[in-house]
Amino acid sequence: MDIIPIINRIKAGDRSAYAAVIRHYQRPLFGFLGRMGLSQAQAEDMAQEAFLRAWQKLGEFDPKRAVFATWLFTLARNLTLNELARASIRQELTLGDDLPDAVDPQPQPLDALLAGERVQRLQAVLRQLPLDDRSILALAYVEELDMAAIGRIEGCSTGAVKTRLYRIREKLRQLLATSLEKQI
Amino acid sequence: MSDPQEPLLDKELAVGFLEVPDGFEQRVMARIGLEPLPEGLAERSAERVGWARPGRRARRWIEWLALIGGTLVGLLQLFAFIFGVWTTSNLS
Repeated sequence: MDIIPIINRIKAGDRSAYAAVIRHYQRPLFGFLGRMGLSQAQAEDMAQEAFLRAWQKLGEFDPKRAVFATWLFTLARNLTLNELARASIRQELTLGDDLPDAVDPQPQPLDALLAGERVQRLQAVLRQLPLDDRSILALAYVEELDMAAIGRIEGCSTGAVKTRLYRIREKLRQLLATSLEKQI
Repeated sequence: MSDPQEPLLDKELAVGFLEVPDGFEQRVMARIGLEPLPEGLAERSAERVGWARPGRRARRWIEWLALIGGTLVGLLQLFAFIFGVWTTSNLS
C-alpha cells in the first residue's frame, strides 16, 4: 500500500483518505490483537485506539525512515503491551474473562466443534506466553511484516527474531501438548 | 521429525481468532472526524502554502546565523570589557 498519496490527500484536508488505511490494515491488526490474547471487545477498543493514535501522530511518520506497516504495528504493539501490562497489574485480565465463548444453541457439525475447541485451547495457551514472546509470535503472522521489520519493532536483530521465534514455537507446542494431556 | 499438527497450527495463527466487526471502519472514521488534522502534517502543509513561514532549511540557516551573530556580539562585549580594564589599569 502506497501511503504517500494518502498522506498528501490528508495534508490537503481530505480526511476520508484515511479510510483506505483502516480498510487495508484492520484485518491484519485484528489478527495481531487476537494472537496477543485479546478478546473481541478488547481488540475492537485497542484497534480503534491504534488507528486514532496513528492519525494523531501521522505528522511524525517519516517514509524515509520506516515503512508505514512497521510504524503502525510498532504503535499498536506498544499500545497493546502497555494495556496488557496495566491490566495484569490491575489483575483485571483473567484468562478468558470476556472471550466470545457463548454457547451456540444451534447444533454444530462435529468438525466445527472440534475446530472451535482447538482454537479456544490455542488462545488459552497463547495467553500463557510472556508478553514479549507473544508479541513476536503475533507479529510473525502479519503478512506486511518481514523478519527485518519485526526486528525493528522489537528492537533486536533479524537473527535474534528467528532464534526467538523458533524457541517460542517450541514452547507453544509444549504448552499445547500439556493442555491436551490435561484434557485427556 | 516435524509435527503433523504444525501446518494446522500455522494456519490457525495466520488466520487469527478475531473478526473485524461490521461498521468498524465507519466508527473509527467518525472519531477521526472529531480530531484535528495531524500536527506535523498541518504544519508542513502550511509551510508549503504560506509565504509567512520560511521553509525548514531556511529556518535552520536563520537559527545558525542568529547563533553565530549572538556569539560574535558576546565576544565583542568581552573584548571591550578586557580592553576597558586594560586601559584603566594603564592610566592609573
